[in-house]
Amino acid sequence: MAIVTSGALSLGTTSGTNRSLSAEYGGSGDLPLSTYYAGAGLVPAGTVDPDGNAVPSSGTIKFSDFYGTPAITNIHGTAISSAYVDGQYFDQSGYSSGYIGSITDATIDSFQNSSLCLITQAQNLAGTMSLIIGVSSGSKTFNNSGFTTLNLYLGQTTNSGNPDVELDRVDANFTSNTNQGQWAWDVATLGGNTSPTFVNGIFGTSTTNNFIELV
Amino acid sequence: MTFTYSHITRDGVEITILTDTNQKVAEVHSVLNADGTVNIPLSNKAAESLYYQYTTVQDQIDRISLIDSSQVKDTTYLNGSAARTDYAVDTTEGQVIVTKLNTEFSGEVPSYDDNSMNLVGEYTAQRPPYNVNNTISFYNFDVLTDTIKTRFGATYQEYRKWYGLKFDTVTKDVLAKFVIPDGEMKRVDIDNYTKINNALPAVSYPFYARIHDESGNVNENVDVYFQADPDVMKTWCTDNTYVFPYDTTDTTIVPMLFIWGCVYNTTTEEITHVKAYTRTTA
Repeated sequence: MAIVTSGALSLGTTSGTNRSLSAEYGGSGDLPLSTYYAGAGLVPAGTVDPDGNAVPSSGTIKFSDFYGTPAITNIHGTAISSAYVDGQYFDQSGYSSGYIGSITDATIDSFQNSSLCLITQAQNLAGTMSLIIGVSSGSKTFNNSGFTTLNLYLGQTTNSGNPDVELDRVDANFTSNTNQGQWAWDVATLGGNTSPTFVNGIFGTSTTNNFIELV
Repeated sequence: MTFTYSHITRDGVEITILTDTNQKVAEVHSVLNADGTVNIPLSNKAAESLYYQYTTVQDQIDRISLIDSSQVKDTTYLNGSAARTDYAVDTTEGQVIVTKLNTEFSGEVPSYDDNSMNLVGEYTAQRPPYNVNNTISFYNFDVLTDTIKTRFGATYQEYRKWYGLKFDTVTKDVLAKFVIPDGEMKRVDIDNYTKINNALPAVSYPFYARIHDESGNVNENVDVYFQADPDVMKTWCTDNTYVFPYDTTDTTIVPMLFIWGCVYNTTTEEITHVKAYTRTTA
C-alpha cells in the first residue's frame, strides 16, 4: 500500500498506516528521518513517487518526499557505459558482457527469488532492444516476471527526472534459455522517436553514459 | 529439436508460447488474423525465430563482431560448395582486385578503398543476373550518394549502410545492388515481401537487396538476407527440394557462418538459390 499523496505523515502509525513511514518501510522506536534515506536500509535505493521524484539518499529529507511512495519500486538501477558499433551488417548500442560497453552494478540484489542474478546485456541490436539477465553461479530457470518496466535514462548516470524510454515488460517478447532470461522489444514499434538514429542506436551513436533501472 | 506450442491470453494480449524438450521457453505476441483470431502458423514461426535468436543466431551475430572488419574474407556457399570469395579492400587479395577496378572501372566512385570495411570479389558466372560474364563485385560502406541513386534510379526512403556495384568485366556494364531494411521492402513491394516471408522458415534480422541497372530497371531477382539456425535451414531446404548451400560433412563451416541469403525470382515466384556466408580473417 502506497503512502498517501498529501496531508500529515508520521514515523509511527498515529495518523494511520497509510500515513506512516514505519508501516510502509519498517523501523520502530525513535528513529531520525535520515533512517529513511533511500538506500540506507529501510527504503530501497531508487524509490520514487508516481511522478518519478526520488526519495533522497542524502542531504535534506522531509516527510513530503514520501508522498505516493512506493507506488513504483526500483528493483535495480545501474549506470552503464554504452558503446556503439557501426557494424557492416548491424548497428549495436548499449552494454553486452564481454563484447561492448560496461556496467557499474550488474548484480541485482533480489530477482525472481534469487540473489545471484545479474544483468549481462542491455543492448539494441539491429532494432531489437534486449535485456538479458543471467546468474553469477549455479543454475536458474527464468520466467516472464520480476519487473514491470525497464526504464532508460539516456545521457545521464542517475535516475533523476523522468526516463527517456520506458519499456513495459508486457510489450516484450520473452525467452528462457539456459540460465538466462531475455526480454526483447522492437525499437521501431516503441512509438515516439522513430528516427533511424534512434532505432539503430537507442543509446546514441557514440560511447555514452546512461542509467537503466528495473521497476 | 521438438517444440510444443500453446496460445494463451494474458492481460488481454494474445501470447504464443514455445517450449522445447529441455523446457526452454520463447514467448511472443501472437500474430493475429484480420478477424482478431490467432494466426497459428505465423505465431509459431515468430516464436521459433525468437527461440533461435539467442542461441545459434547469436553465434552468427558474434561472428561478425569478433572479426576485424578490415581483414575479412567472406566465402559464399552456393549449390553445395564455395562459390566466391570477397575480401576487405585492405587485404592483400583485396588490393589486387582494387587495382583491377582502378584500371578497368576508374571513376565509378571517388575511391574503392577509402573505407576499410569495403569488400571486393571476383567471380565467375553463377546465377542470374550475373550468369553471363565474369564479374567484379564492390561493396561500398561509404555513404550512398545521390549521384549513385540517380544514376540507377533508386528512390528508396531507407537504405542500409552499404550498397554494391557489380562490374561486368566483358561488357563493362554496371549494376547497382541497393540494400534496404525489412520495413522498406515491405513498403515498396508488399506483394513479394509477403510471399518471400511466407516462403522462409524461422529467420532473424532479415533485410533485402534489389538490383538496378543504369536505366533504373529493377531486376526480377531479389535477395533476402538473414540469420538462421543451420539445422532449420537444412530441414527447410530438404522439405522444399532446395539445394543446400554447403557440404554438411564439413564441420568447420557452421562455426564460421555469419549470414544466410536467398534469391527469390519475382516472376516465377520461387526461391531459386540458397546461400550461406562464412567469415574468416584473410
